Amino acid sequence: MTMARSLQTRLLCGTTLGTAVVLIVSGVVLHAVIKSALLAEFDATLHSKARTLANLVEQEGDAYEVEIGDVKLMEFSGADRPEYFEIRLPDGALVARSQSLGDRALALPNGRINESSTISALLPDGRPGRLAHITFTPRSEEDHPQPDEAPKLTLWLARDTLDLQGVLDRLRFGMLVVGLCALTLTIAVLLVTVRAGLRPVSDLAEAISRVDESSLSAVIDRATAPNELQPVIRRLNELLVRLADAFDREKALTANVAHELRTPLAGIRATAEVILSRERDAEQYRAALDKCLHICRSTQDLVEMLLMLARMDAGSANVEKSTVKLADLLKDAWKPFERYADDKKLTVVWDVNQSHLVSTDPDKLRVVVGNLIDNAVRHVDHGGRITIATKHEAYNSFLTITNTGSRVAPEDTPRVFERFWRGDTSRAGSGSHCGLGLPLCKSIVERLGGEIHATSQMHGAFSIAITL
Amino acid sequence: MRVLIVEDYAPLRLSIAQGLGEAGFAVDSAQDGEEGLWYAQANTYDAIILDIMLPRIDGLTILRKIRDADGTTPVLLLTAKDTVADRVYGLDLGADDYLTKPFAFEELMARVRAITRRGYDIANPLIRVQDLEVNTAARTVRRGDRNIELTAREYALLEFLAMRAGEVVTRTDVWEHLYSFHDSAESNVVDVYIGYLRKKLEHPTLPPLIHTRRGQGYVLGE
Repeated sequence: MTMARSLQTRLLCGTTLGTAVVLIVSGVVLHAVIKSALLAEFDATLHSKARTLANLVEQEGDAYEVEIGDVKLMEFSGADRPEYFEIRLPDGALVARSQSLGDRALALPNGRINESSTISALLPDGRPGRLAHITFTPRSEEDHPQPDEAPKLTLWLARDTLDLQGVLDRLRFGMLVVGLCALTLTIAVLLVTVRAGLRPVSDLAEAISRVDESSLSAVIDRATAPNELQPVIRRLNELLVRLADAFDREKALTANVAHELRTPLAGIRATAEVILSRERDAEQYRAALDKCLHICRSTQDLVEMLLMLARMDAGSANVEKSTVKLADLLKDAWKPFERYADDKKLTVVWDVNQSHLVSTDPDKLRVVVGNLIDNAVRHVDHGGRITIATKHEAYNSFLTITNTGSRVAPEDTPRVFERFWRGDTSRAGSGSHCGLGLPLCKSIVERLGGEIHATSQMHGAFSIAITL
Repeated sequence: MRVLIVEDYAPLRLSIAQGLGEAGFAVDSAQDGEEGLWYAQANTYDAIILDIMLPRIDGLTILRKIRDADGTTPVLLLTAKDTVADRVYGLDLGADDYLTKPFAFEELMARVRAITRRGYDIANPLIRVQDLEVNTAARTVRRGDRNIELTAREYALLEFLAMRAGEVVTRTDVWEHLYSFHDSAESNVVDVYIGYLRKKLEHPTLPPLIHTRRGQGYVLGE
């Protein structure tokens, strides 16, 4: 079905079909108009002839005389294409008929027919023709006064329409020739204009086909494109720019992921190879295995975080909401960090409404809260303070986790949500501390329909606020 | 030989340090770029193993600063970045070698030995001084047809003397190349190890190998 595929073919076919229909319809109409005009003229002639003939009929008492017998008109005698007439009384009795008829009778219609109308009829010799009739009172001789109730005679006059048919045939042939020529010319002109008109489209298609992964940033020139294509090209260029950005981010992300996975692998391999390079006592083997296990765990954390981020990005993570007590969720999340808090001699301030309920996906919120607390505990200064606060307004719940000892400059604050951004902090390990925690929190919170914001003062408070 | 490792990932840094230490290298390690740059500028190293992605100051900046200060210390870049562009960029900044994580520890050792030799303008891993043969790859020592067993420290001292054969090597030189920043040892430890080496290498029937230059240091060979 190339017709459906090619714009050019579609335009051509549509326009050709339209032109053909217009030509045929106007041809038919024109033909009908001309035919009816010719017929009207033919019928008028036939009528006037019938009237002339009627004038030739005289009544002489009960007898009728048709002077035409004396006139011997060519068309009613033995000509090639004779005309016929019959004159009959109202009761159908024949008064006179043309010589050309001989013994034959005209095929008269049954029933009454309007006097002025003329009908098509087959002549006795088989030629197609028209039949006209008039009803008249014949003239009477001056010496034979007209009876009071003189019978009215009907004169039927028939004439073939071969000439008319010939004219109409020529007309039809002429119209057909002209129509075909017009159609051919239309197709030729259309072909040229449609092809020229669609050239910008094929140019655009060619330009698009040249775009590949490596040339995404090369925008399509729209200086020469027609107005209709301008918005298309503009949108396309915007799309290309966004695509190029996405590709760049994807490349950077892949490089970062490769780095984050290779580094722990190198750690495991080096640890194993060094420990196996000579005989050692059991304690050393155990320490090395411990170290490998630790690396495996944090790498697993990293992989799970990456997976969760990928699911968030793909939108394939389901949100299963239920009602939870925010205070309980926070307390549970805090438990694993109690020991660190004691080690670091932290002051922990709880400003949490004990009874407030929120409708959210508790599993996902737990990941967020766990990451935020982990972050706060890891970055807080020794002997510093962590504040966990909640606030509730009409439709929203707010959660803020703040730690002192921030090492993020205020201008860098938005970057904490960039993947693999670590700021100035030393990378104590890989895995969960690789700069994915806050980006994951942002993805989850936004998926839950909330917002997340960071504020920071150098060496002061670092705060993450969530709206649920 | 003294090596500096600048690597922020602790498990890797500790393992490399342990492996190199057990192979007789004196090892200093730094966990971020700032610390690494300080070590590199404050001490003399026979090789630096440098990670590229580091906190505070990245590895390539450290490399540029070392080369800008006319430092000739051989540098091996160690990184998870593996594109050709990354390698070329690193090497063009003056790195001597490049190794991608994860790597075989054997390969790292071989590459460190190679760039260390290059630092002393020695291409052949087999160093001959008179009838003494020091195989720096296999870490074996022969005199004539006799194999000589040495401890890691003794071997390290002999290898250093062999690489600078014919030159006077001061006690400070030995200190700087055989002991790490955190080593503490008596000031006469060099003389003690020279004594051990002489006991194992010299023989009354053979010409002496290690000569003492009073007030200056020691010379291996003539």
